[in-house]
Amino acid sequence: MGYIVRMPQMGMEMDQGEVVSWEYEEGDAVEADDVIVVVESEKATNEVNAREDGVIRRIIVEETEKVEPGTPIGILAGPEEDLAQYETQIDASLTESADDGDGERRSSSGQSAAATASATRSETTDRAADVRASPGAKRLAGEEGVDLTAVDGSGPGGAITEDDVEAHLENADDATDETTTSAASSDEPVRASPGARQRATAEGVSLAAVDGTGPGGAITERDVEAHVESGGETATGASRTIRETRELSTVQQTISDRLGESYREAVHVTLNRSFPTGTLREVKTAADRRDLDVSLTDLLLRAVGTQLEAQPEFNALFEDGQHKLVEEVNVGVAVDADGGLLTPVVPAVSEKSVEDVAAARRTLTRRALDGEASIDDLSGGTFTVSNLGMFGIDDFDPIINPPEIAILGVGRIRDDGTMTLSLSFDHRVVNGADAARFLDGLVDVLTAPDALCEYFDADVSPAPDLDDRELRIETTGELAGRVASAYGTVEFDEPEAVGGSGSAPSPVDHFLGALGSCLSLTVRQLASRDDVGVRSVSADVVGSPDRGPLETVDVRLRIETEADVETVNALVDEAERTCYVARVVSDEVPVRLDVDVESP
Amino acid sequence: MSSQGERSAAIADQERIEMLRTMVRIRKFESVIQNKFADAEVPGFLHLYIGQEAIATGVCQALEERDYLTSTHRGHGHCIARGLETDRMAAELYGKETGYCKGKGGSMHIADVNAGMLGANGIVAGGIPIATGAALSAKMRDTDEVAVSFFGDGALSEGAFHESFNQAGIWDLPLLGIVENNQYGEMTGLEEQHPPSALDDLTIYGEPYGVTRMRVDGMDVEAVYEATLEAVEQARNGDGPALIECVGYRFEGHHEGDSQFYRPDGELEEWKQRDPLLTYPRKLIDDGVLTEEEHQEIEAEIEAEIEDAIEFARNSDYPDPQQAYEGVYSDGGEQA
Repeated sequence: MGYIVRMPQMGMEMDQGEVVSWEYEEGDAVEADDVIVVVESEKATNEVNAREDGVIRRIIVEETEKVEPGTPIGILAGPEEDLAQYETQIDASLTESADDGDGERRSSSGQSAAATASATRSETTDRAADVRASPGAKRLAGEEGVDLTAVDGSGPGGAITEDDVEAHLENADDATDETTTSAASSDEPVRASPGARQRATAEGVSLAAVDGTGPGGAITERDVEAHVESGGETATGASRTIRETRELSTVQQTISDRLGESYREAVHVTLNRSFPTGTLREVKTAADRRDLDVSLTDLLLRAVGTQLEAQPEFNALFEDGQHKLVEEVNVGVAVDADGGLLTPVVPAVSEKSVEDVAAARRTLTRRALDGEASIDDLSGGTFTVSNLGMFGIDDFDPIINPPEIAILGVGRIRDDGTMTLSLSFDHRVVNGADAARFLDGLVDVLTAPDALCEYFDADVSPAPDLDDRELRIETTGELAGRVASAYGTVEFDEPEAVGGSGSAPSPVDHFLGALGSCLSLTVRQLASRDDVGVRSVSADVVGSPDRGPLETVDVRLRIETEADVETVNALVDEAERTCYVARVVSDEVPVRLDVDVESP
Repeated sequence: MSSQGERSAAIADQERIEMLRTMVRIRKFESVIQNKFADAEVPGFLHLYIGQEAIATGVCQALEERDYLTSTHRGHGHCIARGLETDRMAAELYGKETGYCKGKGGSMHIADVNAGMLGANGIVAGGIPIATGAALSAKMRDTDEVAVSFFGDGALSEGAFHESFNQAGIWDLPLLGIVENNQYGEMTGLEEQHPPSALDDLTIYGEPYGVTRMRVDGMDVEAVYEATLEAVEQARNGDGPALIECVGYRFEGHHEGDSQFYRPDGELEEWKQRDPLLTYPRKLIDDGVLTEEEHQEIEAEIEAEIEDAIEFARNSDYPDPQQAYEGVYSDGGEQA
């Protein structure tokens, strides 16, 4: 048997198909249903299966070549079969499409191997190219002797309708009228009622200047009146007087050239994604508490770095028709400098801690604002972030900074805590789904506390998983560390004299503080229980000696109250017995309690 | 669903062979057209019925010549089962003047009013009101004719379905709806276009209209045939409309060129095990109704017929452009 393998027609809107790959070579045997060739149309990629067993005897259209559907691309036949019949068919279908039919075809599509079906289609197109008109329009044109090529079509695809022919006839009449009645006839025939024409002649008004409100925009007598009343042709429009002409600054000229090029060349599409910023702000607050100078923009930049690593197709340039993926992740940050828009580039963002990103960005931004940015500062970017949130902008469509292929626009944090990220990308290079994934991945990071905390060199993680009376102690140096609790962190350090850095209370200080605090609170609680009016309670705690093991602890409670000393002493005695911290203090270390009672 | 075995004894051998021949004819016609379309010989869009042959065949076998039917955009099977000629059908697909609609309708608009085939229809559910009109006509003329409308699962959520069956229910019209549940509405799976409560029985959509509801295996031509016989008899007796869901599967894409990205792996292969073009000949041979040789002969004979049909279509002329003005207006409503 055997048959000619043709470029398959894969739906109605297919103009051309490309041979993507031949799965077999000439001379290979195939079985029915084997995929022999993969082809691609404008919309889809399809596999072409062998219709029967046989041998790929000939490959006519090579890989990456494009042809119309129906074009022979190969021959599948028996191993020894004579190919003459197929070759004749192929030749015949080539010539058939060239001189097919009834002699009415005017254009030859000799290169088209698609047989009769496509030949008919192009025939219709040829005729249609002459004049597209509805049957009714043709009939009327025939009756009235109208040349259809002179008629403007208003139908689908510019087809001429019966109404168009009528309008054409009417206009022809009008045009005649006008030449006879008015010397000032314009090129465009004007539709106007006879009354309007009379009135216009009487008033000396050119109908061309009058707006028509009648059917089909025709000018009525009333329109002419309104025109005259409004001052008609003497009225002047808004005028523009140039007050000053400014040359663009060099920086602005560069911006102008580059963004103009980008907007003309890159196929811009912007996707918007909103997300709750609660987590982001919590982490920022945690960083603030640790006196780390890190802004939301820095956190964003750092997260963008991660996402660019995950999707390297966005960390790229598009030059000379090539999509060039870049190794380093260098993110530019748009800065509103005096001279114009500058984008200093933070290098190797994905390798830096967020503190380092922040430091680098601050330095670069300051230099840009001071007009001291160097060429190095401004070059090498692989992606750009532009934040207009501080100006109260919700979201915007940023223009790609060429030759990069994408840019992220950052909006403000709205009152409901959400923020919108807008990713503009060059659709010639990457697709919408890729961009959607980019934003999705980015938002995943920006809403995950752990991921954000990991960007810091310092430990900023709050410890929300702790309960009351549950503490997590971490040492951060030889003699220092911090205590994390459900409510936050406190630090500890040993004094310099014993080898610490003296930056925070020592553990013993913390203990003494706890003892004094607990005793004070207990006194207040008991006073409240017994309705003893107490204004204030404070305490001084001194542990001795000031180095080495504690031998004694002196607590001096100062109680401001109107109650008598006896009552106060009773309260303090009970407090000493019941205070939870005092109760864990060993008997070997005496706690001496003195009380000062002060009358208010 | 009732099983095939217990009832098939009632069907005459001759009818069973006829049904096989019809299914083979549909399959062969479409397989050849599929290739011709891929080779760009056939213009337009192409929606294939491959896999669903048992439905059209079983239904049409239960009808009489005087009955009516309407079809869908996937209508070749209905046409062939109704007895339309494959040569004139092929000519219609090729856009030739010898086609059923003088080549002006194409694949989605084949109609032969003289054969009671009131038209394929490019509009989902578009055939249902037409069949309802035919049923009303049958009733007003006091005949026992029945109108059958084929439509897909996707048509059940169309207003035209509900309006028509509402009317048919009120007036007890002899209307029979064949729901061809082929698991997909275009590229959307069943469960994404019908509520969970309807998935197990799509005829539930007919419940408020009081239709008789049946559900059969659409891969079993005899089950389809017998259910249709029952529904037709009821309609002829003036007992009103029925809805039969035939559960089957579309082996090809929604249209040719559809990459079928939405089909889960293995689903097609599983359904193909139940291909009526495999199972039915095997059954007839097992039952001694047919020999293997006779089956081969049927295949060869129909293959030759389809080859001739294609030649006929190729050799026919395109309609004269003047034909575009013909058949636009009714000639005054004379009965066909």
